[in-house]
Amino acid sequence: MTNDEALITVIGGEAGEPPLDEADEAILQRSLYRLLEKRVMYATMGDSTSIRTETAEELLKSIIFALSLYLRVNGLPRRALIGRDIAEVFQDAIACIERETKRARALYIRALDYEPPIPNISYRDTLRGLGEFFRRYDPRLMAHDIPCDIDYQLCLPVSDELVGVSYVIEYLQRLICEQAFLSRFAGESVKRLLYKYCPDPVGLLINLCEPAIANAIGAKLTGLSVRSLDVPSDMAARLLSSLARIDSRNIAEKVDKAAMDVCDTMEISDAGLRGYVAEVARSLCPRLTAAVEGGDLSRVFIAL
Amino acid sequence: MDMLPIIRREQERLAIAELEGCNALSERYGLALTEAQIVGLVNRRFEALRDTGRLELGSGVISKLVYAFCDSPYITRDEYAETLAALQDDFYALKNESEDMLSDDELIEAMAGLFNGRAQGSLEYMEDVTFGELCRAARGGKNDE
Repeated sequence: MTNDEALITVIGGEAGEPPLDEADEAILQRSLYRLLEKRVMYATMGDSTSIRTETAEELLKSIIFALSLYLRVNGLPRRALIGRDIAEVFQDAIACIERETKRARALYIRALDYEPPIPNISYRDTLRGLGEFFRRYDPRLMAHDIPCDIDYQLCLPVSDELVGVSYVIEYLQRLICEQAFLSRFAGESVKRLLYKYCPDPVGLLINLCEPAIANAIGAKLTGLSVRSLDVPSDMAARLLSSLARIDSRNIAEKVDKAAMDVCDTMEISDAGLRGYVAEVARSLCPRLTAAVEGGDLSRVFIAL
Repeated sequence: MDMLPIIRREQERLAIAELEGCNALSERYGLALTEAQIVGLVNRRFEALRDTGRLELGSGVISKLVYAFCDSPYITRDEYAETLAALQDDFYALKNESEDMLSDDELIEAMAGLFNGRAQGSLEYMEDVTFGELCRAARGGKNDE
């Protein structure tokens, strides 16, 4: 942020909310400034009236994140920040972040319960790192920060627009979806698949779930058992010739239907997880279409 | 980070009022700032902050500098405003140099100790002060020699 005039526009309120008039904007700007002043005093313990610009920007981002989260969680418009003591609103925002942090911790504990089929290093380190998040997260000064390393790649990455505890919650929710999907399959099948998918599934930065979703869909498309997670080469060749006769839109429709069939077969009824699998399936389509055009499905659907 | 015009005006108003109030003390030592010098000092503060990449909230440290330096035997009436301006520049530069490890009060005390001690009122000397010297001055208090 190079200009704090941007403050108003970056505080998220309700979608389609009319802009504040000039007088209200001036009030809000003053309030935010007062809040920043208090944060600076808090950060320097009253020892210094000035701070480096970069530090001020970080403090401002933290304030903006806290207030935006408060408005979003409570379904309030930006106007709600005017007419109330901003320090009071900020305290409510911090309480809101603390509740979100508790929610994130509960998700984290749930995520720890799952034992992956292989001891992938980035997966293990990321879960350890997330534990650090709860020790180091400081909602009062750096609410927008994510003070831990998150290396493990999800099938569907979390948007960089999310920050702080909001990012962690979204990451953990997606991770739990992936764990829930993998847990429906025999660990040995997933393990075999991962070793076929990648020469070093323990040491390399790979996602453990994406090959399983892809192969489950592939198995469904070829009419084989989904549980085996196997798409033998001869069946892949047959699938290729059938997919080569249809356009990319029809391929996408088939994949979408196969994804839902996979969920039914594996008795996945949770709407969130079904939605996640459908989204991963959609993200698979461009790769599958390109593979059909290239006449080789072996890099999309793995033969065990 | 740019200062919103509305907030900058408020900061200017605060700083001007504080400096006007400081004249009551400094006049005891034969030093006073004119209205134009006060405005000049306040503007110079914003320049110094911009040049050092810092943001200051509230009225700033200039009044603290007045309190710490107005009894210095090395400051004359003619050079008072320019000396304060230079010390203000040095203050923000030294805040960076010290990586914010010294509080405002500790830094000002160390600067005053050096200015009245080893520097003998030399602004050139003050401009080149190192973090090590500052720390020694902070440990030694006002009597740096």
